[in-house]
Amino acid sequence: MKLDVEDKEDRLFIKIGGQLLYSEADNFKEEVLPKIGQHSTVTLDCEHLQFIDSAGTGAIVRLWKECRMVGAELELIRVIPEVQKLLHLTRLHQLAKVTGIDDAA
Amino acid sequence: MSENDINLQVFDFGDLKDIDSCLAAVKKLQKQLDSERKIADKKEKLMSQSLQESKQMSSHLQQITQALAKERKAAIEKSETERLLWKLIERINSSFDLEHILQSTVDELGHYFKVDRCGIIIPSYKTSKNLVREYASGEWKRKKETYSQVSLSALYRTVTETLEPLIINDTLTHELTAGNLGEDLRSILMVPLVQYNDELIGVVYLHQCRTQRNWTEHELSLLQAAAGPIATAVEKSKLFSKAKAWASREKLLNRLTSRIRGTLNINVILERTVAELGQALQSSRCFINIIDHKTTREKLSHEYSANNIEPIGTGKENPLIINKMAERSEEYISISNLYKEPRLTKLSNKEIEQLYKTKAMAFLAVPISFQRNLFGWLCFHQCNVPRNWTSEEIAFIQSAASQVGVAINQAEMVSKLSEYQTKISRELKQAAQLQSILLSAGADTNKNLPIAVSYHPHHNVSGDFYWVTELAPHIIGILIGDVSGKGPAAALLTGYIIGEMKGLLENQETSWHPEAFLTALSDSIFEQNQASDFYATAWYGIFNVLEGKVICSNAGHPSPCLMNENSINRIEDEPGVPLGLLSVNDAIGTYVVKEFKLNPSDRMIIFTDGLTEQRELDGKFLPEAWLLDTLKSHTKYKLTELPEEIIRQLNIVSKAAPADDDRLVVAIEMPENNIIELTDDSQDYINNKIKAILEDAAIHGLPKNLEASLKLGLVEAIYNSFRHGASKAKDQDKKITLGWWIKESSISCTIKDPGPGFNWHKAIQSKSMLKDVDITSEGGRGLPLLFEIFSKVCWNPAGNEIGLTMNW
Repeated sequence: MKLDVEDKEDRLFIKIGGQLLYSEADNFKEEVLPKIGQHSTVTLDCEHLQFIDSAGTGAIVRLWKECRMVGAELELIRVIPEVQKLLHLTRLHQLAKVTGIDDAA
Repeated sequence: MSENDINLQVFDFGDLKDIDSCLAAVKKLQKQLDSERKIADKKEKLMSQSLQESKQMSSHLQQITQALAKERKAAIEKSETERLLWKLIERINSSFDLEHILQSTVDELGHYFKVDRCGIIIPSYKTSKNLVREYASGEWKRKKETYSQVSLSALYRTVTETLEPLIINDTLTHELTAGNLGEDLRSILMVPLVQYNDELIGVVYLHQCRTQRNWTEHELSLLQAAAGPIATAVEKSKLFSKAKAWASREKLLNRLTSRIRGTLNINVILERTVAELGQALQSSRCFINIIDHKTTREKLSHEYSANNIEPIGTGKENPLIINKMAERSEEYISISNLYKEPRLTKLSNKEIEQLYKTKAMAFLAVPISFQRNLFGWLCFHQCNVPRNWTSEEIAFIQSAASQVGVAINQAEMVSKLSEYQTKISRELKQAAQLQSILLSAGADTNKNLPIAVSYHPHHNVSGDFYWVTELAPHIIGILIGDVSGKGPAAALLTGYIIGEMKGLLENQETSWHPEAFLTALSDSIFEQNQASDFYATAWYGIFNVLEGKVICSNAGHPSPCLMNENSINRIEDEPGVPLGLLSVNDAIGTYVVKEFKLNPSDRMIIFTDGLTEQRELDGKFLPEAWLLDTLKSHTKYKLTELPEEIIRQLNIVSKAAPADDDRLVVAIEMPENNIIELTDDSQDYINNKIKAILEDAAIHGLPKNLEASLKLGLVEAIYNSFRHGASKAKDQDKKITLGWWIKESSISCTIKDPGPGFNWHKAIQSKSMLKDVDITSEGGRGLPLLFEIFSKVCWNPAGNEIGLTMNW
């Protein structure tokens, strides 16, 4: 898993690549969650996120919870179809705004 | 010279000499004269006496002569009578044809009596018709229509009423005929033909035309004498006709009876019955009125009508009006002449009108019944003429009606049986469908399993049964059995066994232990089967597809065959007592568990005794060797087609003999498996292993769009095993075994961890569906995702081995 977190004024921009699996889920939370502050939006750019499992979805739920606590909005952008399918299966699109890679284009 | 002779004395006048001599001579002469006178008187008296005697003799002779002449005449007459009678008797004896006899008789009598006409009338000889035959000479011949009217004459009535001869020497003066006869008929002699019991049979008559004739006593007595043989001939002919009619009716009755016994087609029987009865009795109509028991209405079901007789019409409602005229107790209803029927008053005008419409004058109706059950009436009409239904005819029709009753009863029974049979066969079909559904559910296992089944039931519903179930993805439970007997009862027990079996398969304490499974199943059948003597044989085995291990127990069932490239053998599984014969206490320890090893491509053939107890056409059992020989020659045969091929071979070796029993074959094969061990839970390591599986699946046709799902499922399952299983094991045991096999469009995987397992029953009860997971929860999506991705998810009883199957 690759993470690149960029603080852009009131937006926290997180680029994630590789796979967000059980083995990486704790790393993801440890890396990202502390950086959530006075942002109005947290954007998770999933363009390079190739794969995610149930532990990965759990990590995203945790991220959404943190955002909610600070009043920030979580959005997942440029999600590839395979990942987007799982997000819909697990209904995460009801928590965060999810746009696919094709939608962004 | 006799003293009566006259003694003439010569008187000599010369002797007269004196007066005295003269006186003396005179006195002498007087004396002589007196004497002569006396003699003459005496002679005269004698002569007179003789004459008287002669006269008397002559008279006597005359009397004798007259008597002799009379006797001679009588003898001649008697001889003539006898000759005539003999002639008649001879003629009568030479034939049974009464019409022929009568014709020759009138011809004979006509010639003999030298009359102008001679005739015989036999009233109501056949049905209501008179039989009349007449001889006539020359100009006195008459048309049949004319002389047939003789029976209507007053003379005929006189004779038939008095049974005395009628002698009319001159019709012009006789009180019965004077002024009444228009023709030139002058003398009539009519004699009744009377049977020995004074029953009138007919009349014979002689006519003398134009010239008057005095009938002599002899002629009368001769005609009376001739009447005897004629009456006998008529009686004989009547008896002969009766016997012939009786024989023909018996024949008809026999034909009817055999037809009724020979066919169940009631319509054909009744149609031909009315036609034959109608013709046999020469009736105008013969029909059958059937009573509808629900409505009590009568309908004409079958009808025969003679030529020129209008049929009433089948299928029409046709109430039998005449039965209103009869008493309930009467065994039949007979009307000889409707127009003279006194009981007609019992009917309404409308009903009488309806009867008249049929144009029938004589009616006969005989009930058709069987064991006091009235089905209808066998009816006859005689149209336009009256008819006396004889007791023989009625008895015959009653016999026929009785047979028709049997036929109808038989048809009703057949109909009921057929209805029952239809119902039974419908129920059997339903039972068969139900059984098929029950069994097909058993066959509807993961198509990825290396199992093939062929099932040929002997009946619609059979006694053989089988069940194949995945205890785990690579663990297959196989049950095969045979209920004693066949048909619905066996099918019911089969159904019961299947129901019980399902329960036992749900219970891991029995489903994973063949001996416990069979013991529990036997006990269940034993409890339910106290009232009958059913039992079942069964074989239950558990096949581990990955390891090629089979553990099994046998309850009196034929032992399966083990096939590999080099050998074919019956496995030695020590069959125990069939199911249902022992209670659980008695059955404990009855069934032993046997274990067998199958190498990749090895096969096991499990079957019922329909394969080993098949007879050949000559009734001998096929030697069991045929099965082993067949398997030997089919080691490379495609698994899915092998069971059907085995049954096909059985048909060949038994020379297509009919199957004696259900035929059921289950074949399993040890597949080529892939087994790897996972020792590291790092992402790259696991990704590589999963990649290998995905590539294998892709080669076997896994669609691209399912790859991510399969990967996700495997990732979830593998990480679960590491997280919940391997993490709890000792270091040296922290490896996970992953096996998979792909068959057709299906992949099955098993993932086994070294951990203690988990209570998967409880876990899947609470959250097996993604929609049930709280979306704000950070965990709990793993299991629901597995159920979402895979078509089958299951665990071993311990919960440390998961099986996953994905179909595409």
